[in-house]
Order: sequence, then C-alpha cells, then structure tokens
Amino acid sequence: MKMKGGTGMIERGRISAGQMALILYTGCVGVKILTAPHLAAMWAGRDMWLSPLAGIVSGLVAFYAAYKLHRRFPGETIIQYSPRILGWFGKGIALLYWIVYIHACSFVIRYYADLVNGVFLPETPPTVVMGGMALVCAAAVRGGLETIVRSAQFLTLPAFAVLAILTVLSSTEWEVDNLFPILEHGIGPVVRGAVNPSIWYSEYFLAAFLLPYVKEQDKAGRWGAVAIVGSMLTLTVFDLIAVFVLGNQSATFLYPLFETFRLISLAGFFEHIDAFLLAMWLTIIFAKICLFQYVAVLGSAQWLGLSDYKPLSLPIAFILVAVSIWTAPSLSFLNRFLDGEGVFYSHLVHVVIPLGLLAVAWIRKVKGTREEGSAS
Amino acid sequence: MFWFKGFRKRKKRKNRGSDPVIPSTGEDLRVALHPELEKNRRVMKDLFERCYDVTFRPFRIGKEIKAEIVYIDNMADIEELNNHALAPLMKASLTRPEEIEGFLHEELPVVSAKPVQTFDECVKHVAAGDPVLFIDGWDRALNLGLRKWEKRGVSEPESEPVIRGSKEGFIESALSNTSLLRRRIQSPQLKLEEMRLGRYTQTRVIVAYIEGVVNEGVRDEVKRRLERIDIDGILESGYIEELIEDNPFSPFPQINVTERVDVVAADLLSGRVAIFTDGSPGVMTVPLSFPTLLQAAEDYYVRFTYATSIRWLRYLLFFFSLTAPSFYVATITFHPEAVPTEQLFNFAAAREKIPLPTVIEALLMEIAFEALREAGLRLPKIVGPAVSIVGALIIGEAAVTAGLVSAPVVIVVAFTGIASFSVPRYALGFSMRVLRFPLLILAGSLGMVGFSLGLIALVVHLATLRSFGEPYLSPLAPFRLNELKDALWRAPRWKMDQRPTLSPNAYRQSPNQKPRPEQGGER
Repeated sequence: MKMKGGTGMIERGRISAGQMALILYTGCVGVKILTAPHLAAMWAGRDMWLSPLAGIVSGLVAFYAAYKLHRRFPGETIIQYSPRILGWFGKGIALLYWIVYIHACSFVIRYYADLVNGVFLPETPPTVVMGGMALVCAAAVRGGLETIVRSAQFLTLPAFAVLAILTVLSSTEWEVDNLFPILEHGIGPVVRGAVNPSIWYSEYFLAAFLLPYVKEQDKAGRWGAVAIVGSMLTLTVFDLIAVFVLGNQSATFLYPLFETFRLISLAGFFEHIDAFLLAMWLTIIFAKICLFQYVAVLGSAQWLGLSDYKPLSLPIAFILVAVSIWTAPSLSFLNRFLDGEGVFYSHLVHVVIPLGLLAVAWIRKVKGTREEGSAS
Repeated sequence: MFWFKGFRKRKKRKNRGSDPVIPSTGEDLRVALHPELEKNRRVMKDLFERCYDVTFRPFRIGKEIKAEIVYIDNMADIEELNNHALAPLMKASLTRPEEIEGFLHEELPVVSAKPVQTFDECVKHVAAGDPVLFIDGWDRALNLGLRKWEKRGVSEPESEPVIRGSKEGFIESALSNTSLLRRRIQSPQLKLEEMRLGRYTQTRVIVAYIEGVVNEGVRDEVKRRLERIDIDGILESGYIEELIEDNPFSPFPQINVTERVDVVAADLLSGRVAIFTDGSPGVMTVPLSFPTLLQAAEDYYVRFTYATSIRWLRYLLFFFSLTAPSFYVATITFHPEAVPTEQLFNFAAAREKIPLPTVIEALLMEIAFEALREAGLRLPKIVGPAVSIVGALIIGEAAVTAGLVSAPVVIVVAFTGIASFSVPRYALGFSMRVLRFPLLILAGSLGMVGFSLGLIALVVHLATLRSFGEPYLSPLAPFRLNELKDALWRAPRWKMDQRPTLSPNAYRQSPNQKPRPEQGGER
C-alpha cells in the first residue's frame, strides 16, 4: 500500500475559502444555466423554477459528507483516505473515483462541444472544439490549483456580472403571468424535474478534492454553504426568466437561456447577442471543465502514488477528448441519461459512498495522521 | 547512462566562456603593493599596456620623495587633481616616508582619499576614473576619489510624460540616479547596496529599498538572482531583466521599468525593491503586478474622481487594443446576425468587391500598421512626417478605393492603434502587439469560440505568472480587498491608509485624515 505512508502533498498551492466556493459554484451552475431549464421544464412545466429548491438537498448532503470526511482526514483527498478506511477495497473505491471523474469530465466537455457544434460552428469537427478546450484546461491544470482558481476568478466574475446585466435587460420581454397557476399539478412533477439539477448539485462533493488546500479551514464550511445557496438562487432566477419569457415552451428549446437572451434588443442596435453570450459562457464552462480535469489529474497522480501530478495533465486531456467522443452517441442520449439513470450513478458516487465511508471510518475509528492545519 | 552523462558534460564544457583571465578581477592580482615605487610602476605599466588614455605622471613630494599619479584622461577631474592633490603634495616639506601617511590623512584637501593595499584594487579604481597615487617607500597607494564623467543633464523622461508632477527623469549615471532618489527619500532607512556585474564592464548595479518597509523575501531573492549573473558585460538594464525574470518565455513584462524618479520612490514606499543599472536611465522595480502596468504616475497627482474614470477608460482601451480586430473578424465572419441589420447591409456593401476573406484583410492591415509604426520609430526624425503622410494616403484611402481592403477594417485597425497608444507602459504595448496576431488567427478560424479560447488561454497564462513570488494578477486574482482600491479605482489619498500586503509594514499613514471644513479653520 503505497498510499499508507502518505506521499506528502503533491499540490503545493493554497486557495482561500472564497475561491473554493467560487469554483464549486461555477462548477454547479456552469452547464445547468443553459440546459437545466430544458430538462426541468419537460417535467415541471411552468413550475420548473421550484425544482432547484428541491434539488438542493443532495448538494447539501454531498458537501456535508465531503466536509466531515475532510475534518476526519485533514490534508487528504478521498483517493488517499479511502484506502485508509477500507484497505485494498478502499483502493478499489479510489480507482472508481478516478474513473468516475474522467467520465464526468467527458460529459461536460461533450455538453460544451455539442452546444458549440450545434448552434455556432456546425461544420467544425467536434474534435477540434473539444481539443481546443481540453488543451487550454490542460495548461491551467499544469499551472496548479492556484492557476485554476485565479483564472476562474478573473474570468467568471465579469461573466456573471454580464449575465446579471443581461437578466435585467431581458425584463422588457417578461410576462409575469406565465408563472400562474403555481403548482397546478402538485409537487410531484417539481420533484421529478429536480432529478437532473440534483446531479449537478451532488457535484459539490468535489469539495473533497479542494478542502485540503484551503487556507482558512474555519471558513470553508460556511463558504461552501454560501456557494450552494447561491447556486440555488442563481438557478431559480434563470429558471424564472425562462418561464417569464418562454412560458410553457421552455421544454421545446434545448438551450432556453440562449433563446431568452436572443430576444434582447438594446436601443434597437444590439440584437442577437447570443454569440457574445457564448463567449461569456465559455469562460464559465472553462472553469467547470478545469475543475473536473484537475480532479481527474490529481486523483490519478494520487492513486498511482506519483510525486507530481502536472506531467499527467496533457495525457489526460487527450484521454478526455477521446472519452467525450465515446461517452454518448448524441446530445439527446446524454440528456436522457442525465435525467434518468445518471441520477443514481452520481448520487452513488457523491452521496452514498462518501456517507458509507464516513460511517465505516466512524465505526472503525480511523483518523487521519496529519494534524489539523499542518497543511504542507 | 554513462554515455549520457559524458554527453552532458561535454556540452557543458562547450558552453563555458572562453574569456581570458581578466586582470581587473583576476585572483592573481590580489597581490600586496611593493614599497618600492619602481616595482609598482612596472606592474601598473604592464597591466595598462597599450592603453593610451592611461596617464602616468611622476613627481616628487616636497622635492624629496618620488611619487607617481596614475589616472585616465577625461575621467578624472584634472583641475581638482592639480589644485588639491598635486599642488599641496609638491609644496609639502616632507623628507621621511614615515611622515607621509599622517600628511595624507590630515593635510591633503581631498574628500575621498582611501589607502589601498593590492594591485587589483588599484586597477579597479583607475579603470573607474579615480586617480591613484603611488609613493616611494610606502607599501600602499592612495585612491583619490576625483572621478568626473561626462553625463547628460537631468531631463524630462520622454516615454512617460506627465502634465502635473515632477519632470525629473533618470539619466545614465547610476550615481546621479541614486542621488535623485535620495533627495526624494531623505531617510537613513533608504538602503542602497552596490554590486558589480559584468566581467569586463564592471557595471555598477545598485539595489535600493527601504529597510522596514521592504518585503525582505523579495529583497533577498533580488540579490540572489543578481549574484547568480555571470556575464561578460551589462550594457542596459534589459540585460539584467532577461536574466532575472521569473518566466523568460512570457510575452508579458514581469519587471517594471521606469525613468521617473517619483515612480521609483512610490514603489519603494510600497515595499518594492528597485534596481539601478549604471549606463541605463531605466530603473527596474520588482515585484510587478499586472494592473500596475495600466497605471500612470499622474493618476496619483490629480483628483481621484478624474483619475478613476481615466483609469477605467484605459482598461477599456487596453482591452480593445488587444481584441478589437479579432472581435470584428469573429463577428463578421461567423456571427453576422449579431450586427444590426442596417449596419450589416453597409458592411456587406463595403465588402462586396473585396477579394480577400476578412481575416486576411485584417491581418494585412495590422501588418501595415505595425510597419508604419516601426518605420516611424526607426527613421530619422526629419523623414518621420513623410511616412505618416504616405501611410495615411496609401493605407487609409488608396487601399479602400482600390478595393483591396474594406473601410470598416481600416476603422477597426486605426482604432486599435489609437487604443494601444493609451497604455501608459511601453513594455505592455509590446505584448499587446505580439498577442493581437494569434488572437486574430484564432478568431478567423473558430469564430467567437476561438476568440474566447484564446482569451482564456491568455488569462491562464497570466494566472500562472509570478513576479518575484508575487502573483501577477495580484489584487484581482487572488482577490485582495484592501488593494483593490488602487486597482479597480483610485481611492483618495486619505483612504489609502494601507500599503500593499507585500510590505510587512502595513500602515502608510494615520487613519481619518479626511479633510473637513472645520479643520480648515473656517470658524
């Protein structure tokens, strides 16, 4: 068991609790602000804006599990502490996580590539679109965690600000009456519509890979909660806008947000600004892919017991591009998967297994060897 | 692996400099001077063989003791030497060599007169312009600090002009430069550490900082990196910059270079370190953060509301100067629906007869613009206007009329050019000019996606960069709230109580200095 001795911390960078919250938040809302209205609207119709509220539960549980495990094993990621808890079986679980994150990252890349290919560059080979993004992300991952959070911070804050301005600008198209009647068909469809958002919420478990590197440990939990609530509010707002503007038709559009903002006309001059919206959204999805790619790279290096993860960033980027092509035959398949089986898959990984690990660690009284706060 | 090691060794040996032993620094010259004048004289003559400018002037002290002054013409102050060294020595009534030391100490009217003991010191002083006095029967020589070099007067720095603020700029002499700085910061805490770099040039390099304010980690790192330099000569601060920066491949400057005294003083007061290089008016300060490159000295001298709005304008123009052509190309080529309909018709009409794709068009114009700029810079000043006339006529008018490029591209490129002139630091302008082209090609091939990916890659690079341990994007990412007031806007002076986190000495001034009418004595 190479891991047992501990390979030391191969990530030297340190991030602040706020930065962790920001990147987790971006990771959560990144894909969903574009696609979730579509899936949620299929089930919940005009009540879809309630579905983020229902989905938040899995986010809170996943983050809680990650946080508790982190308190028990400070300075370690799940790849490192699961062998501690379960021995060779735990090593197998760690391997599972490594594979899962490569798989999950390929989903995101695929979503991004399908949007770009489907709406903007129909004739460009998907490999080029995916490869470009994977390469940029590989460069960021090579720079380490600090580079990732800094570039995410520098890029996404203005992007979110612009999205907020666009939201206000779209107000001329709002039909608030679209909202009523609320809960026409009861709570059932809303919960069903929350299935897909809950997948993205459960990704707050990725905090398990970031928490060991947070500088202000005492603030980490609070900031995580802020991020979860913030992402819920954001999604509710974007869902509401989709309802206001598109009404019951939200389900017919693959990317309701684009459709909504396409209607904005500013001073009769700025119209059809969806191309600029794409440029904005790319910065957000970049942060999300980066986060997943980083976790995949870090996880593989830790699982193999390497002393550095940076050389792996480029090879794994190539693997990711290949996996993204295999991962689903089409976007509608991907959407169907993420609205059905995917929910068990992601909750197994992000909620059930972590809670199980926590329980076993508690029963077997396994604890991390590292002292709290000695993060170096 | 043996062959591999051998290969590496051979390669290393090949790279090692084949400079001959340089007398001025050579170990073999650490030899004590001889009491006999004749022997010392012969060694010095040997060392300065075939150096016509080195003058040996033999004379007698008080008509008794033999002595000799060695100096370089035009580097030593001849008048001073005559009146205050040669004359009193000749008139002195000394007979025994034992009296010499006392006499030199008490009666020679020269401020800087230090005895030296070895030949290498003598050589160093002579080569630097100080006359050195050898006396028969004394096993030392006297170094007279009477150097006087030709130098330019202090003038306004042409590359960083201001309307309000000092017009003092650095010149080529490091000594004058440090005196200019010392005049700004009259405190013994201002430390100026000297070192010599360059085997032949022996260039004086001075590390300046304020003790107690400077970040000591940065200061030590600067010294370490400077000491690592082993080179035959340093002719400009640019040599040092390339040898000590963090990422040598980055298109972005990681060391701030300025000719303004007030900028260096302000940087030192913020806990930074300055590096003076003899022979260069550009003084380097480290660490540098990216937002600093977009701040002009004058921002701090004018009203803060105005300074803030100008700063915002500058940020905007900077962004345009990098992205305007690629943004135009991406929009026109891939997303024409984003252009308002009427405008699109105009654009289409303008582009109708153009044989080239928009990317090529924009690339051509950009290259033409860069060519004009470069030509304007290198040409003799008298020919300068001719270039702009020809350029404006050919590029601006004829090319459009001839149907080679469309008018919108000319507008975009011209605007980009104007925007790029608003960047206050010239070094950043270089990076923008270089980076505009890859971005243009990306935008031309992948539209908004390529444009966005290019910008993201750029930000990733910026986020990786560090300047002497400081993150390059520093107050913005990582977020430092108390420094943002000097990056996002320019806070009023009475609000800027704190130094950047870089400095261990957190407070700059006492709080609550906001002026109020009752404090002005209006009652």
